[in-house]
Order: sequence, then structure tokens, then C-alpha cells
Amino acid sequence: MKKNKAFHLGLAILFYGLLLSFIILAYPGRSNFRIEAVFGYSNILFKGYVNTIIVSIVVLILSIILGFILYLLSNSKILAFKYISNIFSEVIFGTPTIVFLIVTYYFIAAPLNLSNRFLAGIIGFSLFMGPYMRNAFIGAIKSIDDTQYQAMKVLGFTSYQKYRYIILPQLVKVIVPPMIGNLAIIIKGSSLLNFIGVEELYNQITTIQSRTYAVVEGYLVMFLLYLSITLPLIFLAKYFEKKVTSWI
Amino acid sequence: MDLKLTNITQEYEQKKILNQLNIEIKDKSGIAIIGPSGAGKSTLLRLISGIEDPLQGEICLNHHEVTHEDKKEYFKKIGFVFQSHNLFPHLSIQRNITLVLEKVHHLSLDEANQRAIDLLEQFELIEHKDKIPAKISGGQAQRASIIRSLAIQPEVVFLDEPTSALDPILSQEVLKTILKLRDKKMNFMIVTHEIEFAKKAADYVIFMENGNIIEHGMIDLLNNPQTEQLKRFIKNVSYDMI
Repeated sequence: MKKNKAFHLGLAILFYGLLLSFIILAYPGRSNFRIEAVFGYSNILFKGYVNTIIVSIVVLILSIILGFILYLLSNSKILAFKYISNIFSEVIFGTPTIVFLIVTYYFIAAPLNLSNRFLAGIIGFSLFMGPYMRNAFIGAIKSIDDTQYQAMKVLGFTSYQKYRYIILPQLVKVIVPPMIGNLAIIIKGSSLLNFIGVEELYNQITTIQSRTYAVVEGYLVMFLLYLSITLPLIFLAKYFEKKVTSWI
Repeated sequence: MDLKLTNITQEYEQKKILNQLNIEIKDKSGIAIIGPSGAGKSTLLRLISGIEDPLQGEICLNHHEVTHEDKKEYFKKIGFVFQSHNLFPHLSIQRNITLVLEKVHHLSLDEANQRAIDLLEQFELIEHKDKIPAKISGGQAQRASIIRSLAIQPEVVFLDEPTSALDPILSQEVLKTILKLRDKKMNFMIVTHEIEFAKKAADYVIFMENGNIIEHGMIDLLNNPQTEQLKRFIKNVSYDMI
């Protein structure tokens, strides 16, 4: 079985290798390909790469907090809180990321005199990701069925013990894969912050492109750098998903 | 065990489930509650075990005034086995047993482990002690859940149709485990459809229908039913077995 798996993986790699060779050979500007021109501005490239990672991590943390608040609101016994959470989430789900980021920049950040684009972008993007995080919480909490709560009650656990030893260990494992999925969405979506002038990876590479005219090369580097962040995360998510499904 | 119910009534969404139940039972170790579906058997068990509170009435089990007692303390003295095993899926079988001993009953981890291992050996589950519930059969998981309820050395163990989610073969292994409770002179109260099993395991029987206690008495009652309802029920269950 293992040998069979390795063979098929080899076939898939061969397929992509051939495809890539074809693309390179078929590319009309091959003779004029100057990828080193992009790396000549490695300091700008590095700044963009680091900023993308910082924005993504900060947005991840803030959106988890916001998502948890939205989850609590949507679970509230007070109907108005439930509506507040649901309406906000539905509006976000129905809005393209870029439209929401631009609208929040002009209608929220600008009236608040928030001139720091980096900060404005983080706030807007965190607001956008909050409802997605809320859904991750809803899914995770649902994974603990009522029968377990009954067992916890009749066994005499305190509220703290219930969360510490039974609910949270299960939640962490169940919530990690959708959270990593959301982080991948954040990393990819962070490129849209370029439209409000945040100096992240996309923005910095367009700067390099305008200086070097190495447009195609710039996009190729951008493609590889985004993958260098998202691919390890996808593998990590798959690993955790495997762990979680072994319970079911 | 002694049990006294006074005017116990329970409703769900304005539908009466239990209708002014009164009963007094003294010094019995195994009580079986039987009756057709929807009779209110499980509801009665949940009330006596304190999982739910009655709409009105008083419940007295041994010296516990269940309806007035601090539930946290009461739960430390009883065991409850649900229809499904309700083990925690992220913990090994042994940890499912020791967690409650260590955190709720304040045994040291060594003491808790020792007690769990003793019980797992007695009930022939020791080889599965390190597995998570998803890796053992339904019958084994239900037996582990019975062990978890026994580990706290409860005054009474409540069993709510513990074989209803299992096929006949797995049911037999669970029923054998429950018979061991009787051999150990444990007090227990069981809701069951298995009349023959009730005859072997219990010394007292309560027959319910439509939220009422129709008949109750020593287990021999099942061989000599007095009411038409119990006669009909026993006949129907016997047909089911054919």
C-alpha cells in the first residue's frame, strides 16, 4: 500500500514537472526572463513578506477574538444580541473582501482619523474575518454532543473542570483545522490590502515591478512566496484533521 | 436501598409525563422499572437520580431528600449509566475512569489508577485500558461506562436502558456485567425492556404505563401479574422475543 502510494505520488510529481517544463518552454518571453531583477530588491521583498506574515497573524488573533464574541452573541438568550451577530455575519458573507476593505477604510477609518493604513487595514480585515471565525466556533462547539454535558453533570465536575479537562481539549483539536483554513484565507486575502496602500507582499512586488519592468517575474516570485506560507499550513491542517477524525 | 416518592409530577411543554406518583420501597437492592415506550420510566429515573427536577412532589432516596439536596454533593454519591455510553471521546478508557476520581473525589492519581485497574481487571476490560472509546466495541464502551459509575463507590447506580443502543450479542455482555452488580450487593435501579433479565437481576419491579405506576412489588410479580396492563405488556414483550 505504502509503495503504491509513493508510486502514484511520483506520477503526480512527474505530471506537474512536465506541465511546468511545457509552460516554461512555451513562454514567449523566455529569452528575456530576468527573475534576478526581482531579487535585486530583496530588502523591499523581505519587508513585504514580513508585513504579510505580521498582518496575517494580527488579523488571525483579532478575528478569533471577534469571532468568539460573535459566537457568544449568537448564542445569547437576549434575542437582540443574536440578531446583531447574525445580521453582521450575513452582511459579511454577502460582501466581496475587497469591497468591504475599501468601504471600511473610507467610512470607518477615515472618519476616525485613522491615518495609519497598516492599522486601518488590520481592523477592516479582522472585522471581515470575524464571522468566519464565529462559524468555526459554532462547528466546534456542536462537535461536543449533549450526552457529554449530561455525563459531566452527573459525574459532578465543576464548571472550571468541565472546560479545563473535557470541553477545551476537544475544542482545541476540532477548531484547529478550520482555524488554519481561515489563516490561509487571511494570508491570501491580505494581498487585497494593497488597494488601500498597505505595504504587504503584493504591494511591495508591484513596487519592484514598476522599478524593474520585470512584471511576469514579479508575479512568479509572488506566487511562490505566497505558497511558501500557505502550503505548510495546509499540510498542518491535514495532519490535525487526521488526528480529529480518528476519534469518530 | 429505600425509596419514597410523594406526588411526583413532571411535564414537558405542558404535556404530562408523570402523573402524581406515590410509592414507598424499603430495603431493596435491585429495582427494575419496566413498561412500554412513553411510559415515563426514563423520566422517573432521571428525577430520582437528580438529573432533572420534578414539577412537583418529593423524592427521598435512602437519607437523601433529592429534591432539596445540593445536587453537586448528591451526584458524588450516585452513579448513572446512560443509554449510550457517554464516555469522553478524547480520553483513554482508564482516564475516563480516573479523571472523575482524581478531580471530583480527590483521590491521588496513583490511587485513582489503582482503583481503575482493579475494576478493569474484574470486568475483563484491562486489555483496552489505553484505547479511546472509538477503538472499542459498543458493548465494551458501555461496560466501561458502568465501571466509571462504579469507580466512585456510589450508594446507588442508575442504569437507563443500558442495552437499548446495542445489538443482542453486545447486549448480553453488558447484561452479564450488570448481573455482577447484583453479586457484589450493589444497590441499583434499572430501566429495561428485558423482562427475563429483570427477573434475574432485580429483587423488586415497578411497572409503568402512560406516566402512572400501574403495579409494583417483589420481582416474582412478573410471573404472577395482577393487572391486565402488566399481563398484556408481558405477553407483548414475549411476542417480541419470538
